[in-house]
Amino acid sequence: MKNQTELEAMIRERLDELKLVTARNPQVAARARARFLAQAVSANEAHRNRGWGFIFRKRQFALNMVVTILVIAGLLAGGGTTVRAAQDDLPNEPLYIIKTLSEDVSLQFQNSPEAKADRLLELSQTRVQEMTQLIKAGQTPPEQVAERLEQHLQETLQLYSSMEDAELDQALVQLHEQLQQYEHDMQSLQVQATQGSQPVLERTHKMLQTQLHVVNQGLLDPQAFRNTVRNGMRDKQTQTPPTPTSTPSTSATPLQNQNDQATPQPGGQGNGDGLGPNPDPGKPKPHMTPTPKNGGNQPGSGNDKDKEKVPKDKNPKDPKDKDSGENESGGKGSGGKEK
Amino acid sequence: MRNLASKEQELLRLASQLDVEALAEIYDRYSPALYNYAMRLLGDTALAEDCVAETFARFLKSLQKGQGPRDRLQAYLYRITHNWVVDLYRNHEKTSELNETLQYEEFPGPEEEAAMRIRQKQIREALHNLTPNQQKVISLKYLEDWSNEEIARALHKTVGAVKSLQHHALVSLQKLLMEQPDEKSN
Repeated sequence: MKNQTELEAMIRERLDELKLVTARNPQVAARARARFLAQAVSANEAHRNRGWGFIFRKRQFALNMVVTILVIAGLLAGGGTTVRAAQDDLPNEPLYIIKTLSEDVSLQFQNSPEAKADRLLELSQTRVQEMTQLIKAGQTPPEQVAERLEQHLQETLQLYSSMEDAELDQALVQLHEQLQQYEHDMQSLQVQATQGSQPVLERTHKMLQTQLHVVNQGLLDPQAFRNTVRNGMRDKQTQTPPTPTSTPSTSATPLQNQNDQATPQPGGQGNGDGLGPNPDPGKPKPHMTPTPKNGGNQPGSGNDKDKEKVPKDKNPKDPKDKDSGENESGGKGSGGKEK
Repeated sequence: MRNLASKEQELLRLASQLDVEALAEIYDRYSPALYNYAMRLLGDTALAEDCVAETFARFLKSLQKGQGPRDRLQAYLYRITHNWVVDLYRNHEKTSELNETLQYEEFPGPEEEAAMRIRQKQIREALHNLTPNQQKVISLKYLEDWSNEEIARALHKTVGAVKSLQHHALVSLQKLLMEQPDEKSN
């Protein structure tokens, strides 16, 4: 028994030396975390898109294809003039359906997400102009117009949610200005509109405020914005947005006014926004600091060069290509290469 | 303790639905310790990062398949990490590529530090010559300071079996370490 104790003490002493590990590089750790969260987000999206969502998407795709084919056939049959003529039509006019169909087709042919987002913003502008023209003519804008406006803006935000931080920031600043303008337009229209037009205008106004709120969130915290857009903005939109003020374009924003530079102030906004907790996954949390249970990471124990000693090509040895992934010892993962 | 367990159950429940916030919390809770564990077994920052990334990627993949742990998440994650390390060494035993890399690796820096790193390399090599279960018992007990009961639960073994594995592992380790040359001769 004594031998066992002595043996254990001897081995323990040797093993204790392994506890002295080089502290983890916080930047590398943060990148690894971000990569895992990106995997988690796409897994979550894939999960959500199963079932009815998948069926709906298939149906939507088929519908888009039919519309595209019909409009192309129309164009080939000499309908180009008709389509051009339809561009000025309002929702209550006969060629309006051609106008919206041609818009849908034009979206299909945008060759990049940026171009598609730009086109969507143009279309949102068109919808607001249509509403303005109808109100000025003493008519009530159909719900269909408001719904298309909302659809354009949501699709724009979806496209933005795939952008890198810098690009996203720039795009959101632009969208913020545009939304503020729309909100201002909507408030002006509400003053001019008949009683019958008030519900659709009010609904559109609230929708714009919600979108503005999401954009503001994006300016303050891009990752939270992406999560919101990807994980259920539709749900959030049913929540009550911030109370509108009586003056135009006065929604609380991280931008002082629509001409200012974007100056997101961390912590300045975002509480009580009805958009749920802010996971802030881009930043390592305080408890992420390696805290070995028993004396790891001791000062001076590591060699700084250890962090750099493994060249990129030193680590081709990945066991994951051997295993099937059916249990936790195997399987291919998307393990991050951080060298 | 019960609160911690129920919190982990709740996290696991949300994670099984691929809830991003729950997954982030799990990552934040366990990745630092798993990184240290991988570092102790591998002695290489880049490999340790790969190991942690792969551990969580496999965890996520299991959840996507509707599998994954129902409880004892920590033990589950350590098992993946450990198996990744074992696989790494097993794969490269054939080519001895990893061992060569370690063997001929230079140890720059002060003499004391170099000696320490050589000793670390020796004990790691000895550890990797144990059977997988012996490795797990020794690593979890002496590197992570788990109790025999915790190890038994993690490995789905009895405490007696864990003690037996531990005893045989200690004897083997002693033999392996005695066979190794003194670090000063390196």
